[in-house]
Amino acid sequence: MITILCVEDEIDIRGLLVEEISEAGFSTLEAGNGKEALDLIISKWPDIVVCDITMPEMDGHQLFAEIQMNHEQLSNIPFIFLTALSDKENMVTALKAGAADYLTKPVDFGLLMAKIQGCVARMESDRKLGRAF
Amino acid sequence: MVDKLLRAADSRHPEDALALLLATIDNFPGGICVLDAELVLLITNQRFYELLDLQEAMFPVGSRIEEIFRFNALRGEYGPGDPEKIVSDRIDHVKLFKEHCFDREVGTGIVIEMRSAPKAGGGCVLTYLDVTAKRRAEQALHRHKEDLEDLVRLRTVEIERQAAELQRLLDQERQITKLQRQFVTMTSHEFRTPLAIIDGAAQRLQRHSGGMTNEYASEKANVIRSAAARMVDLMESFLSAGRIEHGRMTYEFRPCSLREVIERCVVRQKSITSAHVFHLELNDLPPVVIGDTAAMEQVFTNLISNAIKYAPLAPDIFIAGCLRDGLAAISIRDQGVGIDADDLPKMFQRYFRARSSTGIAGTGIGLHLVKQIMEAHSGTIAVESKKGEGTTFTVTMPLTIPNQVSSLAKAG
Repeated sequence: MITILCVEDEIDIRGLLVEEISEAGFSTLEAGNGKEALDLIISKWPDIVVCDITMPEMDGHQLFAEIQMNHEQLSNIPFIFLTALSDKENMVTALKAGAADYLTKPVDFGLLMAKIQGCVARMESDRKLGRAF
Repeated sequence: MVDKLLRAADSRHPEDALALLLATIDNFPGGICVLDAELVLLITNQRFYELLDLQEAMFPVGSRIEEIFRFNALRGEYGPGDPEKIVSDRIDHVKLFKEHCFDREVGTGIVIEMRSAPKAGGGCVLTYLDVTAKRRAEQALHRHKEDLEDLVRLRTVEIERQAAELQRLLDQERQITKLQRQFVTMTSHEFRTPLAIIDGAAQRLQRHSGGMTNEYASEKANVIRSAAARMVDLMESFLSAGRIEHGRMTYEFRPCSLREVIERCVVRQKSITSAHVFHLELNDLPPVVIGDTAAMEQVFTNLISNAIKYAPLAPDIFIAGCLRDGLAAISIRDQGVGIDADDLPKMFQRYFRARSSTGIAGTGIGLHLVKQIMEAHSGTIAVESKKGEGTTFTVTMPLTIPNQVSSLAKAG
């Protein structure tokens, strides 16, 4: 079963995301900031991360950079940023760093689920081609 | 030489040549005094006596230069000292019959350039020129040059000061622009977050419109309502900040219970966070103060929501009120991220966000607004904090506002 980690400090938003994603048949993990997320990514190795940017302790950019730099074996996990930061600067930073996608809040859940399905489809085709990680 | 003079005098008589020479000497604009090897005056001209302020009758040709030196020494022309010593020093000097040249300001205030040239067969020719005007001009020029240098130095300092001031203003402007850009980004973020909650909850309700439990619908409605309340608070803050900015903030000063205001704010914040516990000690607060209830709600909404926001992992928030030195004093304490010491003085500046706020959403207008409101109530706000240990904000205000009491009384 595909596991998706939801990283979000706003409890209400995280609750809605978890509801939506589990209803679509995925298993979910939850983290309230970048540090909690890093621990979960290392210990639970989720398949996809849906990640907020503005969070205390460690923000989304920092979390992603930390994984890219210091956890190479985890650096293939697709990150979909879901943030209220709608400026180009943040978007460019995330996409340049290698994020799978960048969505702004409020988000259409249909679109979010389509992005997640897209990541799943790519992972499956990679696996078929023997490029599995 | 004699031939030349004879030719010039157009005569064969030596007397005529001598007369021509003496006329030349007498009409020369400088003083002339020729001494023989024994230092006796051989030839002088009128100008010599004028320049040195001497009577020709006292020192005619044939006198000894020593007598002039003594006369001058006695009248103080050479400055202080034993006159005989001065005279013998001068005599020794002249006796060398060496070429020399020096300036001396004489008693009459004029400056004389004195030259001595050795004469063939012993003795010397002394010449005296009035160089007062030349020396004064040189001094004036020198003074002018110094004045000019002083002026240039002063101007340079002034220009450097202006350049520094300009740089400071430019830096300030850049800083403000940066803060404003940050503010616009964060403002958008601040409104999008509750909107995302409302929109997300509505999408979930739509998805389940077919069959959902009453509990589910009610839970989603609560989520929507608290997000809407959050947007209202946010909007109020923005509007008030705008009104304060344009000097259009008006207050209605009426009796107001701070305790009720704080309790209402706490109830509203509780609906937003379930992670925090509020410890209230408000029994010692005066029952009423004169103030604007809506503005006070903004003050405590801001301070309490800050405590929650900047202490995401420390659930305890302490709110205590008392009467201190005749003032109502309320402190809101969290055990959160805290503030760097050097950020503390800037906490109430508009748009300023402390370094420790990185990753925590905020626009930098809340505390600025709170300070403005407290000041309009003749009150104060203070902050104490230790990085990593938490922050305490304390507001104080008088129970009545001095210049408002009378107007209320009149109105009543």
